[in-house]
Amino acid sequence: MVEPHDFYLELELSRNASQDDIRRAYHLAVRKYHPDVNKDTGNLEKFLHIQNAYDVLSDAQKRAEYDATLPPLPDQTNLLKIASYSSRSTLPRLTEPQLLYILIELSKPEDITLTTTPPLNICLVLDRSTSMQGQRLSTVKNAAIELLHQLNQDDILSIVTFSDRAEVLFNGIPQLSPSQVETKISRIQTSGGTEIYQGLASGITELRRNIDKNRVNHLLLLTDGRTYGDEKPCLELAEEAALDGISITCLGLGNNWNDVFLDGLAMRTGGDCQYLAHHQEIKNAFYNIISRLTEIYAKQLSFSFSLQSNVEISETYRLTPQPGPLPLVSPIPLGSILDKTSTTLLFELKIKPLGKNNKTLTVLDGELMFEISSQSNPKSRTPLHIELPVSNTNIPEYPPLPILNALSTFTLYRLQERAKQDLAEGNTASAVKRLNHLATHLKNQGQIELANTIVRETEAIQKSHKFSQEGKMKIKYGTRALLPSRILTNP
Amino acid sequence: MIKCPVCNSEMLEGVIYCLDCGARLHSSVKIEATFDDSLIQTDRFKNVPGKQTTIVPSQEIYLVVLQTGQIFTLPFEDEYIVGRTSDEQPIFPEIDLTPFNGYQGGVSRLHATIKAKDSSVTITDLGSTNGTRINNVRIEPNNPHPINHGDIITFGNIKTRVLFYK
Repeated sequence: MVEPHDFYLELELSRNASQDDIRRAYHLAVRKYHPDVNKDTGNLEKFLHIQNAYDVLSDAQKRAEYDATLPPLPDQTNLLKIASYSSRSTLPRLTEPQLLYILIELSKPEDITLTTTPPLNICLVLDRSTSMQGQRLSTVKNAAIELLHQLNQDDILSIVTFSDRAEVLFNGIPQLSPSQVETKISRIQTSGGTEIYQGLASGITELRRNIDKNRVNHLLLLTDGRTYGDEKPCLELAEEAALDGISITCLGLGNNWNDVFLDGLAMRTGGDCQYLAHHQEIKNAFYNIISRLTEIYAKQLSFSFSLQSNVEISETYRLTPQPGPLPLVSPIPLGSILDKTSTTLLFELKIKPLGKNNKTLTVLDGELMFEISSQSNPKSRTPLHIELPVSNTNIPEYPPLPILNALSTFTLYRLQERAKQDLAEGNTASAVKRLNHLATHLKNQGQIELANTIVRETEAIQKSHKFSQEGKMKIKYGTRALLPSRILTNP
Repeated sequence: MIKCPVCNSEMLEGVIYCLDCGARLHSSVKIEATFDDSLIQTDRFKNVPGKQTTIVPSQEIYLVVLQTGQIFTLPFEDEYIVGRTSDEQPIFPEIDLTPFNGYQGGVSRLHATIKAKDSSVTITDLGSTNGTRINNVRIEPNNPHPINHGDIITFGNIKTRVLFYK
């Protein structure tokens, strides 16, 4: 339900959105709702509302007049528990740039008990290209059948298979008996190449058929291959799906898929991308994804913000529940908040030299938006504002423990990313040095197996000057998997 | 700018872990220490110049290499390996005694660990060849031994002093 006359909600924006944000949201909405552009989702009435909202908000004077008529934001701070930590409590006034780390932990308030969780609307999009032949496909089939039994009666499941084209295996459980579904799953056969766009588009269409604000709408993409040439339309599709409240989990099987692409795809929807080294991990991965979806307290979480001219975000990362990189542009899709696990975000900010007039500095300013299905008006928002005093003296400070813990593992993940960059720039020696450091740090933290993988990989890199596909995946997702551990063991 | 003591990279102020090698960097302020060197008249380290400086109380411990006056700053709630780097093996201890003639001084590659956790500080010798001594008493390996402010810890022949204020 969109409240009448709130132009910001019409464009899914926060009230402090910048002109860039407004333009971006408008273009996305036009692409989706313009009746001439999009035959599936076009909606003339909605389009006119959006046009109207944009006319006002894009004009600074009209916007200011309109803002004055808006009622104050309802207080929804009691729906979300926010804890934030900053690596410094006071910013020194320096003549050179400095880094600041902010850790934000979002969780369900203790006094709220989750009685029911929203029903699911999920679509499995399964790669059936020839590389899936044999054990891989048979494990996928078994895992899909098992997933069927994990669902509740009011959940909706559809399955799409794809190679260089997509087929809808079935849509929605209600029309079919479980044994009919099982038969359909068991008949999946491999053939052809991998064109992710085909599967993705078809999966999103199936989800849209049953889309419902009160459901958790989720797409699970499993692939073991690379898609060629259709990456960009895939990413655009993901952005549109996110606007409809669809999130995506990507599962990359084996070592021959494009990790940067699938990370990006999931990230645009607040979802995550996982690496499955072996087909035996599929069943567990499916199970964990469905379990998490049924533990959702708040979904469609996003952070819209504006930055002061002397603050820059150089890195944002989600550490829990599912670690992954986040886009740097507002609004950042953040996924969901689970019943028992908090959502933790790490920001690395670059602060430019501070002038004499800065007594305080607002380092982050924005709004968290989220949906709680059990609420009568599920759309909620709560402000997030972090302001630090600026001081002329540079007193040493010990950063809070949660920040140190988060950075101790995040630094390791970053080392391997930098090593990849070194190799891309042809600097083998630097990459090798970095990986050696990484292996030592991992050994110290007791991650012997991962450290040994890195040692072996480093030896190979000295000869080949590049990462092996397997080593790259193992090291990237291995160090990424360490991120939640330090957070969760130190509540 | 901050210079990483391990890899010499220059980092922006405010950085907590070196982005190039992952070493934990201490705060941007120089930590200085005052101590009395009357205790350190041993046969090998006669007349080691003591440095007259002041210490900033904080949640950190300081390990001073007596020969040079170099100070390692070790924040609490962590464990640090003392040793030296090696060409053959990828070992990068947090407290690397290579620049202090660690090899000639009989420091093993993985010599000992210092654990600063829950407001107590302990040292464990990792079965090093030439042993670790607290105030000139050799400790048995693989068992944590408590250390106190002012103790002199010897790794092989390299003498260091531990300073901490709680």
